[in-house]
Amino acid sequence: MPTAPFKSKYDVIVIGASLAGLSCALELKKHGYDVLVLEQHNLPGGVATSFVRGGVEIEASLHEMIGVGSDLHPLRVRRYFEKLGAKIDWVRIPYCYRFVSGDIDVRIRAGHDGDYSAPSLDIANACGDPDGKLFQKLMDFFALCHKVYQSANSVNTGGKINKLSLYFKHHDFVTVAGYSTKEVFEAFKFPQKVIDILSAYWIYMASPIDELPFTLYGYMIADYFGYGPYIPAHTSHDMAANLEAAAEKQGIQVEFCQKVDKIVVNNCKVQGVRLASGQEIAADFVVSGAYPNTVYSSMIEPKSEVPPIANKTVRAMEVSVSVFSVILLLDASADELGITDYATFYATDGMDTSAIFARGRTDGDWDYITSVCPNVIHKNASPEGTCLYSITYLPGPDAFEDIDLEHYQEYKGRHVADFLDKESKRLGVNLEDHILEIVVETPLTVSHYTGAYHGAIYGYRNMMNNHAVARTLTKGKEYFIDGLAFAGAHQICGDGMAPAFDNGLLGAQDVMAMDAKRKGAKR
Amino acid sequence: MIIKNKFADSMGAFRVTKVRNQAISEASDSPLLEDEVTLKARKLHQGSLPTTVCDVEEMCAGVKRFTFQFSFIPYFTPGQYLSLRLKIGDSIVSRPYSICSSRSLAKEQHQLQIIVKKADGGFVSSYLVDRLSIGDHVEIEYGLGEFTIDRFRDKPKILAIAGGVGITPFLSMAKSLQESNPHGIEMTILYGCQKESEIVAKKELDALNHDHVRVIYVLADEPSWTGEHGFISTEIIQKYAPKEPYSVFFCGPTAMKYFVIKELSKLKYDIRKIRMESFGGIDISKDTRYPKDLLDKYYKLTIHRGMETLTVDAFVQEPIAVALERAGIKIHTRCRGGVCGICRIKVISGNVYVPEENDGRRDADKKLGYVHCCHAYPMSDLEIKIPIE
Repeated sequence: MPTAPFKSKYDVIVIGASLAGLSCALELKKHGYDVLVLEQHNLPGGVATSFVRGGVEIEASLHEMIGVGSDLHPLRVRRYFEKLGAKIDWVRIPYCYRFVSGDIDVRIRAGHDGDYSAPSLDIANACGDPDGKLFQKLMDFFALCHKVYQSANSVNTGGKINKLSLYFKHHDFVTVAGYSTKEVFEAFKFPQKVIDILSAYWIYMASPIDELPFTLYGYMIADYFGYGPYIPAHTSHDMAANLEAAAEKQGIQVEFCQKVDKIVVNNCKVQGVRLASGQEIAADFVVSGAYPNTVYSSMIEPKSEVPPIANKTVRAMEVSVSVFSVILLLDASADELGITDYATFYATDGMDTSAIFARGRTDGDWDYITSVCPNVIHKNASPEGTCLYSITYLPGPDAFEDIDLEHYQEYKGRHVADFLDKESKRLGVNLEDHILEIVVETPLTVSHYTGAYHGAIYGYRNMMNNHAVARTLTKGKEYFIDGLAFAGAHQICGDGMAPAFDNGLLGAQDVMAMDAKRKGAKR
Repeated sequence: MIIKNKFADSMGAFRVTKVRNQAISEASDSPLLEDEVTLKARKLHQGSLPTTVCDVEEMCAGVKRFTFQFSFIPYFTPGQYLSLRLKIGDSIVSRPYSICSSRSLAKEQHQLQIIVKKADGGFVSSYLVDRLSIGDHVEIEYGLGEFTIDRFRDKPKILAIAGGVGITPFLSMAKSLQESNPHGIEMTILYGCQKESEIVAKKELDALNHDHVRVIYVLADEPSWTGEHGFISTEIIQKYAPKEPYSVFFCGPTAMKYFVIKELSKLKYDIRKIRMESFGGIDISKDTRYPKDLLDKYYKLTIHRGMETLTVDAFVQEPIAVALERAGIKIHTRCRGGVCGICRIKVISGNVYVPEENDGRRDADKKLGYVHCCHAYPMSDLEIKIPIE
């Protein structure tokens, strides 16, 4: 009977039992690797988690996700869990969003199974479309998004790509690859109002539309508008817990409360990890859920093993946003409070995404608010006579840099007061009179629970000079330390809970690519 | 579809690769720095750390105040608790105690205080009161729990109801309000005890009794007492509660909690809004849902900890966490009441009883067989998985 908690050596150690980490571990196990997953927290999921307050389980981060689709046309996340034999209770959100900005106040329905007529009609009607031309143009626009979506999915799951096959098989994907979201909007000559409404989801990519690669934006809205946003009825922890259970069932060792301090490297090759407890565990490969910034700044042991090119590559990318969220359990039902929408995007000071983004990098005004009330689509989200309501902005990584802990509560309080005030006015209800529980999440909260660099939840910012297509084409050149791979929002597929599964797959592919290279070299 | 022109459209992937390579070649290769946010988060949540007992003071019979010295500012919000970790004989235990000291003591002296009452048969409280002395080292995790005044949720008028040593979080709140009260909070404390001699920190409370804090002692068993007698009933609450809307905080023994809830509901107070913290644990032998024929039995716990397997005996009337602690197996607990979830473990096989009240588990965890082991009792031989410590 073994008396040590760990084997002396594993093929792969995955740092972090996030959705990406666990799906990476499952993929590697499927290919015969012996995998150990080490999680510093006592729960799986990373930001895909929930907490319990006042006896109510409350989602910690997920607003809505792509990649689910209907029962009849399941998309990849739904299929993924079905294949695992895990039952997730998915809830469809009938409207993509309500968008409020100046004199615009519209609700946009989500389409079904790839049909974009409902959202096209809602946007066209909101903007005035006497001859039906705008509707047709929107249908064409979504058709382009859908092409990008299909190409990206086949590229993602197909493994190898080359530039020629891209050009012939995925013409529209190639066409838009070099353009920002704004450039594509302009090519369609959309009126400003349409652009504003279509831009509402920009916050889920957290980059202004003139910097945001259309490839990514088009991909996301193809899914949301065509197949509809979904949430797991029992919060994102349901996904995390089911992945963990599946991983253990497959024979993957998953250990909680195990903080990895160091990744031990010798002669540019990974040797294993050292835990905070001092224990060293050997492995041929390490897949890190920790950001490359954290890995190269403080985890590689010895420090001299950090290649300068790794620092350059990390410095060339901008760490994306974190989160500031006020989560409320209210003492009356959504109906009683007059809350009618699941998700509302509220641009309180116009829809210039560059200006909003710039202000969000300071401690100044945060004027793009997302509010979510799960009870609108899911009656049992909280007990009868109550409802959950969250108000969120995603401030830039710099917004929390200068605060001192002495004044942390006041700093939080100022933004909470601002959010409650803005939302109370919009809803015509004084939210403060109805609070049963209030939880405030800040970048420090995220950093505390997940260890994420800067409390960042979105990986690296999606920009034209840090384009997923470019990262995909050059990724083989970015294995700076032999045996070290990454799985998290910092991977190529970026932020979001559906992309987390793709990021896990990419991490696994990186391990297998490095392994193949090693074996090739041996021969 | 043409965006700009055929040539430019076909060269997108090339362009974005080029600008990315250029950005990398232009970036500095100097070492990356650790980030400020993570360093701050670490200062705010230090985890479990060694401290030294720097003062022990007898408050009244069987009740002592302990002062712990930290080497940095232990940030906390008044009303929160700390968790002590101790090795007593072969057992490794952790226990929660409300912090009773002020913010300024933490800020200026880097100290936190708790008040412990020796409970009948209390394994840990007896050890603390009888044995713990100045100079002893204790591991502490602090700044835990949500029993705090929130200026957005709570009204500026607070009605605090305390029973016995349940006064401790309010002592911290009242002292801290005296130091700084930017939101003009006014606190009325109804403090219930049996006898005058059992009033904890009476001198300090009397000294706090002006401006923003008012303390009313309600004694159940002190005939010569000139103040309020009896229990904290509807009449007492009505007499002293603020005239304006107020928020209720309760901290005291479990039996008193049910009494106070009953009294407040008579006043049509929305009991969902009461903030509650209670102590005294659960006696499952009095739980009507619990099968009586299982009482007083022992079952075998098979414990998987990483690759290791251990076995210990577990008494049905004690939570799994206690069985582990008795056997000297480290298990991280905090609230000891089922709520916080830090002691989440997986039940691989066997039956477990989880009391419905304060079952703080997540839905998926219920479905997949996880329990919070401070709030789960064995009903058969069990096979469990716990974190490696």
